[in-house]
Amino acid sequence: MAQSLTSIPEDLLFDIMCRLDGPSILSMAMSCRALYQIFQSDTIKYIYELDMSSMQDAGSGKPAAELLDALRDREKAWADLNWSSVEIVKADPHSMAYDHVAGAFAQTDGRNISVHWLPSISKTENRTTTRLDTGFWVRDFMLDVGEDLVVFLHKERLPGGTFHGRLYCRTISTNEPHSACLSAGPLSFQFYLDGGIIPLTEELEVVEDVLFLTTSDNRGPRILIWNWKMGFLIHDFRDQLPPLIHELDVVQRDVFIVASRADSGKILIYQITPTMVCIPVLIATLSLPGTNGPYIRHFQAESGRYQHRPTPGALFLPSPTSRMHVFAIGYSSGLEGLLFVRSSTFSRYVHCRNEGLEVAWSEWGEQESRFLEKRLRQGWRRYAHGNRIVCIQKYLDSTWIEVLNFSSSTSLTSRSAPGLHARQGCFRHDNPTIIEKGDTFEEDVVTRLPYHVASRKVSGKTPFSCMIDEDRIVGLEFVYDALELTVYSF
Amino acid sequence: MVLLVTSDNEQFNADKDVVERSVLIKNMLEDVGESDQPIPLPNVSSSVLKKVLEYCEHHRGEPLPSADADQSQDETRKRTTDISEWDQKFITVDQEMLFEIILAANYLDIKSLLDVGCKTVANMIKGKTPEEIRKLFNIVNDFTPEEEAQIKKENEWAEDR
Repeated sequence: MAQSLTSIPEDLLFDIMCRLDGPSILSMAMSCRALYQIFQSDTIKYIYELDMSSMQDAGSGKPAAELLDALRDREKAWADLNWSSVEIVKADPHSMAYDHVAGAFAQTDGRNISVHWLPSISKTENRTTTRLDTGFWVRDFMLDVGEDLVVFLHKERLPGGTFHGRLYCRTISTNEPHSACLSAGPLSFQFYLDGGIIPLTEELEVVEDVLFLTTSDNRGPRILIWNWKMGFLIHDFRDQLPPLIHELDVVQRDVFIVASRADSGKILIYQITPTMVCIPVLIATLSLPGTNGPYIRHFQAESGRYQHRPTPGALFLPSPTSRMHVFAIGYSSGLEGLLFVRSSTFSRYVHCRNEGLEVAWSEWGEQESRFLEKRLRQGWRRYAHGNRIVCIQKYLDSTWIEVLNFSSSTSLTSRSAPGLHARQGCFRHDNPTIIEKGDTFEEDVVTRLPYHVASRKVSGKTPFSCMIDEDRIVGLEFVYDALELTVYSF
Repeated sequence: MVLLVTSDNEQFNADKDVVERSVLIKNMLEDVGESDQPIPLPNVSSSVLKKVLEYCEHHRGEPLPSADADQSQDETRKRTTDISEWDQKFITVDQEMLFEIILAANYLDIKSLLDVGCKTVANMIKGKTPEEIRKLFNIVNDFTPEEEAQIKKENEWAEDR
């Protein structure tokens, strides 16, 4: 008796379909009627649409039909930028450092960290502000709401131009040492400044148990990596760092990228072993398009937070493997561009086990990125979340909020809502972007990663920066003696 | 030792803790109690049972997934398609045998083997176009061209994928 795929019971075909990625689910469904029938189930539809939207289930345990509706509603609301409410939250205009993640905007005046819990439409508890007295002078900090974690950096000057840095890992809720942190004291390190200039850039990132600190001292840029839960330094990365390093961004727990201005610009992919002391291994170097002279003046790397744990109460979370990384690149020729690359482009090289691979722009750039001639208007970070990037656009005297979406969500069809708001709509871009050779590049720069743009006019004020998370866009502006957050909730 | 009789009337002798990886056989043994009676498996041929016993032999002693755990396992969360090295080698068989193993694992209720089988089929499908899937599994396209166009339209099908 010859067996074929369609001779096995329907529940097994269902089981097989559940294990596929979105495009493969649709391919399987389209091969014949019997398989298309299985595709009609709410569970499969939910898995399919979730994957196409680059999202993951947060484990709420709700029925698939309910989740599917919720997913479609929110995708549609984001596609139309049809937020349900607009509320204003006032914050302190003077902040030494700030962070925004999962409905929390936090700032520090140097000693206290204030966490403003932003409005949301599905709000169950009515928190407003949590104030944490650190007891120290805080240089920088970061939040992880899912982990109930706040990490803050304190620096102390020692005699002879040496500084002592300490990182404290506490809970947001109780301001006590975080229970997941096994070491009793703070994570500490030394740094040196002969000239006595305090470096102004520090960047903290936490991904699960790994904590990254990017800084610089008189010997140049430096990346310190700890396992904050186990309480040890994985590596103090400085002398082995290549020259002209600009910024670090985290791809996943054991993979990070570094933007380098060397040559015509490069993205270096490193891997670590988070559970032991080790030197990061350079897995691959991806080149940016070759220039015919101009060099890169600034090279900023930003991406939405890597969330391995859903925000409490959330139904979905962005899939960590398909987050977008945004590189804001400025060339000496005056060209300003935003380069968008998916996390999976970087993490793919991890599986090649081919240390030190050199990848030319022509081998990856066209298919796996989108390079837009666009200036990043915002000074503040946190403008990316999952697949979405929020921008501010000005046309004459009107201000628009623009959201670029790089998912393949099925709700994002090309359509507009005529009459409702002029120019409002969601547009799909499948055509390649071409930046012609000439002043900057030696060859035409052609990029094809598909994306959608949704835009909506905002009335009145003009934010100087926008932030984004799962459920909201936050516009920032200074009004008299306050930092005003305009919260657009979905 | 337990005596199993296949659909083509071949007899297999196997250790109790090996055959008990099959929930069906385990339940049958519990029902009949201590006896030397052969257990008939009218849905399984000898060539397939040989493979199934090879699998059970290799995995003997490993904890069985409990029925509760299976129930609570969310459909959307069990989407992994990783297969261990031994299982991968074991399941590298021709397509007909693969489906026979899946059907036997389903009938005999051997959850882990069924998983390996379904994962293998999923891996074969991944990244293929509908036409490639039809060719691979000998499926006849029974859609009319109009239906096919309609489905593509409904699902925002991109031709280049």
